[in-house]
Amino acid sequence: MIHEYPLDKLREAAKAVVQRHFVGIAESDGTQPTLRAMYVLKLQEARGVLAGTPSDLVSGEAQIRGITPEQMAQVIVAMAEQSAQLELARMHTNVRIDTAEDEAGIVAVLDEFGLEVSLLA
Amino acid sequence: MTTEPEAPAVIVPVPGPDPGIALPAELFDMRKFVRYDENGRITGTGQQGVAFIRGEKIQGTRIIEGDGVGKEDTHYVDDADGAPTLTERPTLTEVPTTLKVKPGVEAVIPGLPPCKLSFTGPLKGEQHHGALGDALIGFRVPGTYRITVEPWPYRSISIELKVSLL
Repeated sequence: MIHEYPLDKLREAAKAVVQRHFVGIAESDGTQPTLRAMYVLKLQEARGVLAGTPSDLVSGEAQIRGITPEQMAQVIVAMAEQSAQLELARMHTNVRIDTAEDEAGIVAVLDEFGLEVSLLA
Repeated sequence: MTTEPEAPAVIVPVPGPDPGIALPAELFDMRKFVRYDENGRITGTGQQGVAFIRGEKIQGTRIIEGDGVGKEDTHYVDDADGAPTLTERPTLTEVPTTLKVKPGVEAVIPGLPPCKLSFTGPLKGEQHHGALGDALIGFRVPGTYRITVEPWPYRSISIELKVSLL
């Protein structure tokens, strides 16, 4: 008897595993959701600073850290860029799973991250 | 019944108004026993008077004298010849512990009696092997599977099946 699993459902399961993996990386610093929301605000403000619009938030943190608002803004933008790269990597992985020809192709993508599915046959 | 202290195997006078009645010694002749189900699986063990063991047999309980304590996984009651005996579960020596096949190809597990095969890995589930002979099992999703075969009364077998393109 050959046990199999619907290919479309296997793709979805694999993408869910990938999502947990990337979310785990993103949250590995332990930052709480409230602070993450603050990061979004900070990024907007930092971009504004780099575009010439002053920000109390960015200036305040820059003062605390003893750097200029522009330097602070660059740090914030660089950190956000890391998160963006992580999300791009996740989406790239999803697309590879979506376009894998068969079960082996999907498993091969997961293998690259040391991930695997566990599904009821 | 397992906590009963061992009593002397003697005739015991009944206290009360009729002290002349004596009880059979076999009520107090304590013996270890094994209860088992229709497949010979040990379902209970303990110790009680041999008369009670005999009584249970008469009432239809599957019970024999014997020490089955701690042997629930390693022994069974073999009733093939009509004389039930506490017996060590045999081992299927011809079954490999590791197998490797390509996705979509069945692995052969030779010489199994009818039994259940349960598996874990990328896929989890079970299949039933209905007749004495080779069992065939395979997967389309690659990965390492752990197959547990329960070929009663033979001992359970654990097989690692690698499903790989390589």
